[in-house]
Amino acid sequence: MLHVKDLKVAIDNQTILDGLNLDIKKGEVHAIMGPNGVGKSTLAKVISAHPAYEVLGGSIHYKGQDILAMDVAQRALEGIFLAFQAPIEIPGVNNMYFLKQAYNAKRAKQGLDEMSAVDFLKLVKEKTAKLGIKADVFKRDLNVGFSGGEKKQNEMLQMSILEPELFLLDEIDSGLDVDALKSVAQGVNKLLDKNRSVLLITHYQRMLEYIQPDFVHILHNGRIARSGDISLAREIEKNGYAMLEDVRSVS
Amino acid sequence: MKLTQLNTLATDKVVAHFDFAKNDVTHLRIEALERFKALGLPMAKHEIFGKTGVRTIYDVDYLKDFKVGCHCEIPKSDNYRIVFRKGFFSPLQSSLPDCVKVRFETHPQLENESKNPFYLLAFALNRNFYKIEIEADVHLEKPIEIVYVDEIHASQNHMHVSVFVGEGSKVDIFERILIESASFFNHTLALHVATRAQVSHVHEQNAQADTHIISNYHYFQAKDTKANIYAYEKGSNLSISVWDIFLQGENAQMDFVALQLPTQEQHLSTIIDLHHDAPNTKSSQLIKQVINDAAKGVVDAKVVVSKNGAGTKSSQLCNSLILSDQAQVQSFVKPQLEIFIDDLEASHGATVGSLDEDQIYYLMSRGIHYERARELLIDAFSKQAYERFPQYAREFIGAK
Amino acid sequence: MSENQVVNDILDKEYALGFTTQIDSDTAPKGLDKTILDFISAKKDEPQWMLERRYKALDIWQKMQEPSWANLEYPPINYQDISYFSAPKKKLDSLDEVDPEILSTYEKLGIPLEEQKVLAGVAVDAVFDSVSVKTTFEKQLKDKGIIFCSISEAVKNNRDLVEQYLFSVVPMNDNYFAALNAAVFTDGTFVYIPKGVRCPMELSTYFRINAVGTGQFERTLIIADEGSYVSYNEGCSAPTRDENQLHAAVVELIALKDAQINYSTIQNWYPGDENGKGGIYNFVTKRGICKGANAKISWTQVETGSAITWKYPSCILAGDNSVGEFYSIAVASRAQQADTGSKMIHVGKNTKSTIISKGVSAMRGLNAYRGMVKVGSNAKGARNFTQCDSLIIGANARAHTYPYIDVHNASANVEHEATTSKISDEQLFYLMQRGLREEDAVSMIVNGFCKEVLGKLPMEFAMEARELLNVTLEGSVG
Repeated sequence: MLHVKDLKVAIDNQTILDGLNLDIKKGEVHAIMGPNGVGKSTLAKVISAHPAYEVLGGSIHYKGQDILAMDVAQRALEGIFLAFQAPIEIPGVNNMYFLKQAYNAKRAKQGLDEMSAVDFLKLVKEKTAKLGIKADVFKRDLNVGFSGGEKKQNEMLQMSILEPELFLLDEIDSGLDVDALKSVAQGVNKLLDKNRSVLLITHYQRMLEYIQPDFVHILHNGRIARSGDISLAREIEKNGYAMLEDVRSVS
Repeated sequence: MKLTQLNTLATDKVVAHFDFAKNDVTHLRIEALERFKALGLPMAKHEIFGKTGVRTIYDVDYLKDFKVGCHCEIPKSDNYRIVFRKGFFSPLQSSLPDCVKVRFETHPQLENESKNPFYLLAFALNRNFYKIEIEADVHLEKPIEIVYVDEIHASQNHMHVSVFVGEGSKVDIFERILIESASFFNHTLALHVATRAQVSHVHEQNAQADTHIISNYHYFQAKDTKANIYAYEKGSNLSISVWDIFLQGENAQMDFVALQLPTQEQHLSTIIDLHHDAPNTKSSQLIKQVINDAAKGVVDAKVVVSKNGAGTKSSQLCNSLILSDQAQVQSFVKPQLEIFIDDLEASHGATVGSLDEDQIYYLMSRGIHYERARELLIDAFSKQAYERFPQYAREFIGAK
Repeated sequence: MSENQVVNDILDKEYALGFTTQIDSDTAPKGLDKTILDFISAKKDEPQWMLERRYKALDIWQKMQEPSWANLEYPPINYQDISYFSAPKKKLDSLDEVDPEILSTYEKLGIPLEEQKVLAGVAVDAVFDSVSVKTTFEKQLKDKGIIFCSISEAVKNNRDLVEQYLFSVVPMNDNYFAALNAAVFTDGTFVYIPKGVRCPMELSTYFRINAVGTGQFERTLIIADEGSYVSYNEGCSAPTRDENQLHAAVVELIALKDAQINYSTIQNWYPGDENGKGGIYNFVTKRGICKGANAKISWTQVETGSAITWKYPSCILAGDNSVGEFYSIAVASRAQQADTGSKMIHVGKNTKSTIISKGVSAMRGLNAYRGMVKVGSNAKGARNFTQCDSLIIGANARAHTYPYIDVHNASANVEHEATTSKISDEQLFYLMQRGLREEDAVSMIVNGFCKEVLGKLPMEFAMEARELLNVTLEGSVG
């Protein structure tokens, strides 16, 4: 599904990723861990084509095609969805209206007609019920005045309506208490199937208790320093990221 | 002589009239005078001074010459002190640490851009150009008071003082205008704040009720500097404070707090022209007006963010409280923004109103008399500005 | 980064209404003196008293100076190089005789004078260059006692009303452009709503400048008698030309006791190109007076066109409890300059005013909000709320805010808020990450920014305004 090869990325002339390799197959859940400021979020943003990041080298293939030349909207329409750590507020833009536009953009891409407002409302109601979201979130302006939990729920709602194939979950656990975290994780799990893949970015191991990864990678010095299964995450939890320094001296 | 007569007098006559010594700065005085005459005295339609009531000073016949030798009692204080009497530095009444020097300014800078006729007038007609030098990297433990005194009635008095704050220094300047005469006092204070320096500056204007005062401030802030400016305007018949502030170095920061309390027939004006001219500069302004009787309060505050001001953060808030039912009472507020780039955060707000009747009612329902309830609410209103004044100034400015 | 480029491309969309109509026109020689006034007056078959007033206005104008306080940049206007009258040659004996070319012009503009507006229930007056070409629904309105006609007709047929109210809100000597207009105004709309009548349909005027070298100087007068209600809309467009054309209009509104006037403008004059070449100079004086108690005047404007806009729709709140409102969206893109805002003059007791202004600056556009709230010493209990927000797109755009608050009464309550923001890269990224194209994302943000004001327009015109925003936005945002 996603094939990242030798990726070098800089922002403001500062190299963040330096020769990163990553392979994600259909149906797999990969977790990326690492200390703060190591470039975890950079990886998610680069995959989704954030304009501030400059790709200096390497390649990103998604579903077999090179996507580096595509802009953020094109990649989104191909099924890449970034759930933001801190979703931005956009005053005056109605949440529902926005979501309908995004949904219809996707339908247009698939050669389908626009969905009517009535049908769309039904769809939203069905999805919110499934996710257990209180209905008034989508009546308000996009993320404006939302609590941390509401923002994350809103991201889940968008995800469930746009039905992406590659989920980039960027520290969606930040600012959530355990209950909120659980419900968000449940939301994600409901959406997953053997055709969809996840790149889960997190600082803490606790998230992995709720969304079970097939692989865990540790990001360090701009590349994957170690890979393993869930036991690697537990090891990190126990020993901290300091153990990476040893890893480096070995490799 | 009336101010309006200056316009008609030939430039050389003016210089002779005021009996200035011929020296290296004479040509600058003449240049300033000519620019002043070209601008003319501002009238009712003037963009900036139109609403300030400045015309009231044109009718006063000020003394022909400057009389010296007044003697004023100055309130005691333990602070460092620079006293200017009648426009002259008074070393005997002053006390300074070694790192601060008062000198004659032999190369005063005449601002090319200034369109303020009173700045030009002060430049042309001051008795001596003075400069105050504060060495680099000094942290003074006590504030420096700059005190202006004058007791001669029906006179005019112009001053031009430059302050140079050395790199990395930290100073508190407590500027007190204690004019006890029905005179016209027009002064300029130009502050040059060098890299990393921090200035706290209190302007206290609490002059006698028949005095006319115009204060012209020019602030030049270099990189990583910080200025906290506090203006307290209470006295005089007419007072106009013009603050031209230039944030010229990266990360320069300026916070401005003003409390304006006109009563009776006073006319108090605060005019701010603030320029964000370097990246990541920050400014905030809080201006509070409490207007009583037949008084007038004017706030004309402009923030300009130039092409160089990427990353600017600027906020401005003007609150006016009108307490009088008299027909002449007036609050004129003009908060302006001029923005030439997109990378910034800027906001301003203004409110004009009276005391909230419901709040008064609530307080009275708890047994507080009407007058006392009003006082409480007025205090609460001005406190938001007053509380931000530094401790060294608070005990004085609350006193009168 | 390519983002600004894309935005600029979007902004740079062609002006769609820039075509010219080939018709025979009767055009006055260029220049301005008494003989031109005679010419205009004769063409319009005016009574002598009207001509006398034109003379007086010319006299006043000649003694005035062009104002410069708005800091707008444009080369000096040669007022002798303008033709002050241009009219389609064919004279209209009845409404059915409108030149088919003109009708098709209006169809191209999306303003078919007949069918669609009939269906929509909107009465239209169309002003083509200097004259009103067609007024629809005149008869249906007449049955209710409503007068909706060109001002030229009103001068002839409704002398009492015109004499009483013309120049009563915007006097001849009000300002330079108002004086010019008073001397040479050629046409415009006249509306009178009788006591207690609620006008059953939206009234609408469409203005079109077509002829070369002409200016347009229309004058509109709307009188809402006691207890009446009217909603009036105007739209404007002009051909794409290299030269600058002058539009100096005057609008006067009079709302008597308990009357209400809603006045909406969608201004889409040709804005000139990105280098500032060509475009309309839109120097307009609009003012209403709430003469009686409980009267209400509401201005709504969507200003997307013109090279220069100089316009401050205002309310004099003379009647006790009267209400004034101003809702504005102004877009300055390319090299456009917009200096616009409102004046609210509180005279009566318990008067209330609201100003909501949304300014969008893009490319090299300059958008200035200039407003005044004045509370007189007798205006007990006056209330004002002002909000002016600026949205800046691109590093070369400029946004200025000049509010004046002048309060002479302790019981007044005036509040002013202003913010300046840009479309942030993160907002665009977020929307695009959900699959929206960049232009749709920009348009969505701008529409959101303007939402409060769009909601104030009558339904039919809100659609038009939204469309215009998208086009301009895909052309100048907004």
